[in-house]
Amino acid sequence: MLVVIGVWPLALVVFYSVHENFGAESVFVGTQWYSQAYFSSDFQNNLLRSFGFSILALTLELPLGLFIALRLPRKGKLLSALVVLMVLPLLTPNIVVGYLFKALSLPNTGLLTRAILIFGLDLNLNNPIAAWCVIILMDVWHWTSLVVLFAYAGLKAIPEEYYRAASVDAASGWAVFRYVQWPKLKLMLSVAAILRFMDTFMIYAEPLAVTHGGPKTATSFVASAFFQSKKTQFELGFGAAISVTCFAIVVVFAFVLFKLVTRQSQTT
Amino acid sequence: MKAQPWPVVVSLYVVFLLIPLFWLITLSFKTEVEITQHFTIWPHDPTLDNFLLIFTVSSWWMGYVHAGIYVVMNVLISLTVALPAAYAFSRSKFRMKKPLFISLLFFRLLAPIIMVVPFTEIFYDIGLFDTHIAVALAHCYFNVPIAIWILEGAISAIPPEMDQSAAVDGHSLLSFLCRVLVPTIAPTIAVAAFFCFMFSWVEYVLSGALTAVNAKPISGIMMRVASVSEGDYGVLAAVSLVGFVPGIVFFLLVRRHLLQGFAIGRV
Repeated sequence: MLVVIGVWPLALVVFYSVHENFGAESVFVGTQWYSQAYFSSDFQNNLLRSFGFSILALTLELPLGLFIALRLPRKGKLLSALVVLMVLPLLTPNIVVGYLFKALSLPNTGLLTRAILIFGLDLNLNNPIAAWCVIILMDVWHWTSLVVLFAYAGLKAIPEEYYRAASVDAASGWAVFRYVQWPKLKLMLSVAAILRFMDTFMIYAEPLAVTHGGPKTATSFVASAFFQSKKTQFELGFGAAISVTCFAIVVVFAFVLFKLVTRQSQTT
Repeated sequence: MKAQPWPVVVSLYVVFLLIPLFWLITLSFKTEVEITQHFTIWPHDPTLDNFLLIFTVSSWWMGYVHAGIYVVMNVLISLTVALPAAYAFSRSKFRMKKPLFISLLFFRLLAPIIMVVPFTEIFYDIGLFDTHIAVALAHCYFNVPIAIWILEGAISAIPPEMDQSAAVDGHSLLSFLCRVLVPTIAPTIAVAAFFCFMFSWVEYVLSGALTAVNAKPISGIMMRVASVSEGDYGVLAAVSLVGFVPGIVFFLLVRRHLLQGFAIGRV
């Protein structure tokens, strides 16, 4: 029952992606929408940029989040205060995060613009590199806390005895991390990585707010194009073809990561 | 684990988290002119207009009410569906159990934007378009799998002997679930509720698309304002600050449970 409810909307998307849709009628067109999407250079470039963005965001957020989780105090008021603070960005709607960072980097009046000016640099969102830096910074601000919480939950699941055993063996800090903490953290971190990959890969609202996908197309990603094709021209099939592709990519990523994690745990 | 020294990196991270939040707060007290034309750290000419606007124009504050209604609905539905499901996943053995359990996660991997069109169509067809329950159900699509994952971890941590002794005490399955299991895993339920809440409260693509007038939530209104007027920064900042309040209240209510729930293992 649950499976049916779950699969039905997804099946609809797949259905759209192989049909030409005119209101109530639809004609089967096979892979036409897919080839149209795959051969458009817009889509190809967006796809590359999405991959780039996801990889950059993940390489910053995962180690940072892990590192902070390892350094968090174990208990007490301080911990609660820190957790409240870390949850706040997670409770901020994406669109607000986008506008907040746009406000931070407004020419002349943004805090970030001013701060960078101290170092003699000019933050100009018309510069693709600057635009990317702001968007990456935004994502790190918004989502690193999620990685921290996941990693922290994984750490808390390690029984105290493990650490005692390790200290009896006079294990070094690195050895404790490698053989006591890492095996437990692996799964939590990969779940966090999958969630973050999905979100960063399908990001669109924030860059849209900060840069409108520009300068030119420097910060438009897969989902931004997809959003436009859904809202403006309403080419259902085209949008659906992109959706199915993106979903497939995310699933493959998740699958590979899970395989890596579980195989490793069998060998070690 | 030995106590970690209160280190530099965490402090730096805290500062990094605080700066944009600080800016968000100051923005909400600034006038639009001040935001776009003068650089001031503290509001030069503090104004409450942004907040007044939210609380006097009914479409704005009703937005919070609408969002509140479907978020509560969603949390309740998600938990009532997920709890028996998680119990089944944890206790009974059936074919395809493991692949089914893992494939649950894939639902969470669907970006809401992918599902906008099919959901709009389905809810339109069954006449639920522009109702709270439509948004709540749409969000369940993403929240139920996560809730099952979270709860399953906690239920599996309970020895099956507890089920048996409850059965000996004359509990039916239903009364066991309500009277024994729920109190035992209350911390984890709080964690699951919090995750559902978090997703539902900030999600805006589906909630915007599935509503028109009667149930337009605050995030949908924000989207509209943001796309019509090129950045009403002050108002948007004020709206999101007010939007923090339920989140923080909810968090403080379940805080102790939340930290305990984390301790149990699976988030």
